[in-house]
Amino acid sequence: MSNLQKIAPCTYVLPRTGEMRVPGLIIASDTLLSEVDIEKPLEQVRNVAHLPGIVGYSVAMPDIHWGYGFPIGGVAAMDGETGVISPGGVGYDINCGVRLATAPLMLREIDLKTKEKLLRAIYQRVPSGVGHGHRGSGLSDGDYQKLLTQGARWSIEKGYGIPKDLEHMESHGCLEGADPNAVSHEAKERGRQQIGSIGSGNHFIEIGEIQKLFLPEIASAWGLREGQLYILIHSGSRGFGHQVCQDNLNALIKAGFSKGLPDAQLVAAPIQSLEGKHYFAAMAAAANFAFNNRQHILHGVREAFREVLGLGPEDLPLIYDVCHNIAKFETHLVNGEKKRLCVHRKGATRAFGPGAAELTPLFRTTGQPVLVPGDMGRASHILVGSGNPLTWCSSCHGAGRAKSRIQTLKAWKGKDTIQHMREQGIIVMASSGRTVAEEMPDAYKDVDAVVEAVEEANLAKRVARLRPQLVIKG
Amino acid sequence: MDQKRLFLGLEVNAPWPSEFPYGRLIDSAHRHVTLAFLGNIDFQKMEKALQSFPIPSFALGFAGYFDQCLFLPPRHPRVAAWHVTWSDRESELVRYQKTLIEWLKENDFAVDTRHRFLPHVTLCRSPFKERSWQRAFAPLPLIAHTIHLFESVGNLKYVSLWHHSLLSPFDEKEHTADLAFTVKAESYKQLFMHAATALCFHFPPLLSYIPSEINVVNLEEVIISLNQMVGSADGAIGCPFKAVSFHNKMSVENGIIQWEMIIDV
Repeated sequence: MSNLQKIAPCTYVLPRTGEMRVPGLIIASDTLLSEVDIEKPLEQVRNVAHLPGIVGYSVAMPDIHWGYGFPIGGVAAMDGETGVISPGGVGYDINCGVRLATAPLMLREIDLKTKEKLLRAIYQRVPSGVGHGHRGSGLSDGDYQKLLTQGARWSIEKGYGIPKDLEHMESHGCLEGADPNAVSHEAKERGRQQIGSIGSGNHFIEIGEIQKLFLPEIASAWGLREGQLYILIHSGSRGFGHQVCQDNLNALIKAGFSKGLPDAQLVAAPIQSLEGKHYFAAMAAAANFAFNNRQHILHGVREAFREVLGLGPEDLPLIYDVCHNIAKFETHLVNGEKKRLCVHRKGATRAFGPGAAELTPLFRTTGQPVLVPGDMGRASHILVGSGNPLTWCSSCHGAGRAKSRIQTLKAWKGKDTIQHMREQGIIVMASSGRTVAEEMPDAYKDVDAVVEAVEEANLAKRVARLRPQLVIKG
Repeated sequence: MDQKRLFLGLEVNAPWPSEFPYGRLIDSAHRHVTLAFLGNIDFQKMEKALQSFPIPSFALGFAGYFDQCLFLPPRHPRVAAWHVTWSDRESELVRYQKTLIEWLKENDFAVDTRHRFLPHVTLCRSPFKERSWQRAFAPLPLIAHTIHLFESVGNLKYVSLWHHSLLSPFDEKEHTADLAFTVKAESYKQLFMHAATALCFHFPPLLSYIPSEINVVNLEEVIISLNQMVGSADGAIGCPFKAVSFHNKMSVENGIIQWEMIIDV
């Protein structure tokens, strides 16, 4: 293994070598480091450390795995004036994220027949899988103009949510600085029918019960009870965001911004250059598309709960919505001095602690919720951010894959995966059997081990463990 | 004399559907494109002849797609087959097939040359319903990179007695989060075609989005063109791929470009 030096519990420094501008910082337990092929992601951590304007560390979370240019589970903060912004540091699925809502019910109070009815009702309302979006003409250019600049507020004004939802979203569901004119026609075409759809891959809707509370006081402040029904939604900016990323990668590579970098996929433009500003404006638009996408999905879920259980939207409050593929301007202390940084989080979640000025009063008191989906068989977690400055107040975003898609497909070939999950007490609906096979629990690291490492490294603390029961996959 | 029912053919790999219409199906492991049919011949004579087998001048195997369902022979069909169109190098394969025929004739093997070479894969033998097969057909990609001397052993089974391997146009690789392939080609245009075929193996509807004109002169242009294809498909019908990454690990050896293609899914 690379020459990692332990500096604190579950915290390792990857020393500077060659042209690295900063060292790497790896958050992981010894077990996690030994379980997966860590060398390739570590090489990507080193590559990121070459980027101009990077400050502190090139950071990797315990769910790190090999990604596009940046590792997935990577965090890098660039000086807001002299640094660069990199589409590869955000990823293709811009503002892929997770949102959590709850219902005023104990899951055990609902019988199996009703659970199945609920799952079917959601499946009918929320398109999932490859190419499955809404029918009809989709978003008009006028809609685009508003939703890309207003963020989730657009959906709520259109009736797809309640005003209170906005207080429970990272950045109030809107990234400032979005410019619809920075987005290509192709991106708008790809996204036109896709708002309110899950997509494929690792995206999902999950319903389950809050199995265990670790911090009852914080859980209570957030309205969480043991045994309560929760809803977890994971999706992003769909084809819209993918195209925004692609368009800007093409432009930056053609403009020669990849020269001198150890990997062309790290291509990055100075934040203050025309190209850098253009990417940020388009990326922010895609982030706002994603906030709206998750808002529409939650609306579909609420409609299903109304139909099956007679609950209104206010009965299913949004607890929080986090982004895990994004670049944002934030102010942090660098060598004791306040600095405006462009923090890239790719497969990582913001984890502001108590007192963070950007949070709404409730979360300013407790720290922000950090949502960590695991896999569809074992668990997911709700954490509270500790605001650790070493990682620019960031935490992990999931369990992280342990096996490739091919390995998982081979392992489950010829087996009835849906039936297997049912035997484990989990009902799965999916538009593709292949996706279910690729996403079986054994494809992922143990999320419990991942969040334990996060807690030991003091990035976030466990508030509650969630146990899935009803799952919709793409 | 050791008589065997022999033919020369290309082994075919494709993302075969899990179900076919009714018929006496040929198992996927036995599906092939016949290059030259020999019938019952003396195997020892063939073994000797193989010492002078015309090794092809090309090192790379072929990529292509099934474009229509055929019922052969046309007047009184006994088999349902899918016709193959090779993405490029159609003429190269036709030339090589002629070379094989000439070589067989030079070695005193009787070869039926009444019919023009019709590249196809037989999928089932009668009885079958033409309408069901016609209705079930959808274009599908394929690759072929091994030439075999096959023996027909009955019950729709064919055993390889000898083979010559070519380089595969692509091979799928392990990648923790995404999809990855090693793609090989002799030109950037071919690199695009082989990479596009690899994508189509995972998502056959993408075949309709392969552009008819391809003008690419370097790897960057190949990647950009592949992403245009993915983007068009996603906008129209949805696509399981986010994008082909700008991963530029590429080498050229003995005139063969080898590129590690990674797809964000």
